[in-house]
Amino acid sequence: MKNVKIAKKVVKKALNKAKPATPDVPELLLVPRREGLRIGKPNVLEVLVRIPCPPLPEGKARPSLNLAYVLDRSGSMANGPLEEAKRCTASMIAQMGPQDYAALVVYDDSAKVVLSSRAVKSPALFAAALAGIETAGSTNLHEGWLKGAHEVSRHQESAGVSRVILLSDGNANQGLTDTNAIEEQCRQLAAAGVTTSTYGLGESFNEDLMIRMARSGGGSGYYGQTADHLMEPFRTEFDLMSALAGRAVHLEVLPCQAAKVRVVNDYLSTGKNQWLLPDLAWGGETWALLEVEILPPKTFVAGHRLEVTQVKLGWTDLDGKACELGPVALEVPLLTTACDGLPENELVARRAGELAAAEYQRKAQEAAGRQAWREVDALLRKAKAQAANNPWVAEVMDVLVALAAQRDAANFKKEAAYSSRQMNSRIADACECGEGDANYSPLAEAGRQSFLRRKTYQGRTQFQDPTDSPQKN
Amino acid sequence: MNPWHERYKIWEGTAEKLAEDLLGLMPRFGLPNTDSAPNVRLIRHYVTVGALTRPTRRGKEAIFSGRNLLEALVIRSFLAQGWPLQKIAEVIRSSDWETLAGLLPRPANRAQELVARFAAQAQAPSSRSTTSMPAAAVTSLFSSPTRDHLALEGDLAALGNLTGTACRREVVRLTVAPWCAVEVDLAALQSLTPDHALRAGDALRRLLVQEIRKQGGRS
Repeated sequence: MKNVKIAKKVVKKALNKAKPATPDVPELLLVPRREGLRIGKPNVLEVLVRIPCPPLPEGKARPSLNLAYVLDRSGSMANGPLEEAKRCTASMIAQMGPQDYAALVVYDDSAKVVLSSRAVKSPALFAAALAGIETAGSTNLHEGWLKGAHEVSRHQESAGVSRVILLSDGNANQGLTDTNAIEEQCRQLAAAGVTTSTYGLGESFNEDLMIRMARSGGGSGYYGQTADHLMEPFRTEFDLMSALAGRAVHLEVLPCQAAKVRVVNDYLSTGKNQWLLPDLAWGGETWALLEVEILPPKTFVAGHRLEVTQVKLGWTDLDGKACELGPVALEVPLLTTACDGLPENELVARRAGELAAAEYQRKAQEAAGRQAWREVDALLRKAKAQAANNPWVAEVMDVLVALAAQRDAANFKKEAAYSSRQMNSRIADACECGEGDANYSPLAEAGRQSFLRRKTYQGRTQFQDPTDSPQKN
Repeated sequence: MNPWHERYKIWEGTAEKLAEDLLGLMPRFGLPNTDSAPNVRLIRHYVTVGALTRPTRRGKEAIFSGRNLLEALVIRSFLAQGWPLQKIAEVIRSSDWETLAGLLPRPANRAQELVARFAAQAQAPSSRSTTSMPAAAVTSLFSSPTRDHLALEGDLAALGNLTGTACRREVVRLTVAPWCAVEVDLAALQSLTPDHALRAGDALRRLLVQEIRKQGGRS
């Protein structure tokens, strides 16, 4: 706690510019893992960049939404999955109003606009259109996505959030199928204001493509092991879009002399020392972990402070206005002794542990793809050891260990990939900074906004809403 | 946010500049320039028939205004929909700036331009060009999303037509006998060859025989 206070004091002293002018804008905070650098020796210091947003200001309406629901209706979606996807879509549309726009697109061998983008004045019209969708053909995922993007782009200026919601249970096997090319198109479209979220379903979808589309498309990536597990991610995404405060969030790191900086999270680099962060959400905290390499010169005097790094943040608010915070600088004291013995900041250590676990999961996913199960087991053991002080990560590892024991590569790879992605880029609860938050309890998570909850099993429903249960015919 | 056309209120230029800027703006509105690309001669023609308001004179130079640029866009947009130039001239003469702007489809935004480019690339995967874009692809992607158009889509959908557009076809109805009429697409008729006419006749004969059999008659 002492360290946090010191760090806050340092930040406050150095960075009056980053102080928000009004209470309804985010803050930009820098917190070092250890409060000290050793003179004359190479130091590697982890610094947590925290961007907590206040709760949704009273009286502020949720942003208008401009969505295209792009549903896979290939033959494999028959007997249940398509019906559940339609039900989830209908449920989201039921929450939209006349200020929102929605379009329905289906794809099999080719894509078809079932209902062009229009104001959601009559959910019954969408329900009727959804009811008429039936399964057929193979998977032209790219054309479906592109048609969805076309529909969304028509009303882009009128909405706070413009997004293509793409659902697939298969592999793109018609039209453009090159993952790199599709990913690049998602990135360019996100930069132009149309984002992409993806929903994978079942065992056969291409998790690499779906995750990369969501990552470069500035949206979210979810999956459900079966159709019954789709509603929770749909609801989570709707809640997130309703709580968005800013998008196209860019972090720029301005290293001081002789410092080398990297972002440990798996965020997209958008230029030299620039990264694209997840969106800003009311009540949430977007964050990044920096690893700063620095060699303080011997000429410095012990006890003096050295500026380690400077960061600034840019984003676009939901009215399309460009916003900025910073630059914010971090200074830490110089010491003549080794810094290893200094107490650690608990929050920074916890987030660093999550990222280390995420990296082990990514490696385990790759190993499972090669059927190298011994390697998978060893990596999961290491990840579990890493998570000794983080009950949430420990529970995630228990799930993965159990999955690995089944030696089912398709299932394991999906869970490991999405779990790694969540640990890398989750929006944390802005209140999740106390020592008590190290504990993990599903009950406490259920009390958070849905998009701030830490799940232990990405492909399964964990926080079921009473209205979410699938319809039984 | 100011409407896109506000910035053109202060625009002015020669006939050459008008033709050049018109050509540059047309793709943003999904207007094809395949028939007759704008040039100085065409601009003068529009002035002669009264579709374009007469420019002001500055010395020897005819100076066109932002309104002329807007008028020219409306002309091209309406011509593309099949309106005769004289009728377009009447509409333009009775419209103020805001009305003229409202007659145009909304210009393409950055995302729409990207989608059009990706669609064009998908149609021609071998050509990796990132700049060229077939006019047809652009036109089909940006099909007039004006307010009226959206309202029409809503009405059509309520009537059970979920395509969002009404299919418009001009046909020639040939009544062969009191009990038999043949409808032929007008556009197709204009390019119909005698060989195709013969084939159509044969097909019609075969179809009639099939129908007679279905009804239990003798053929």
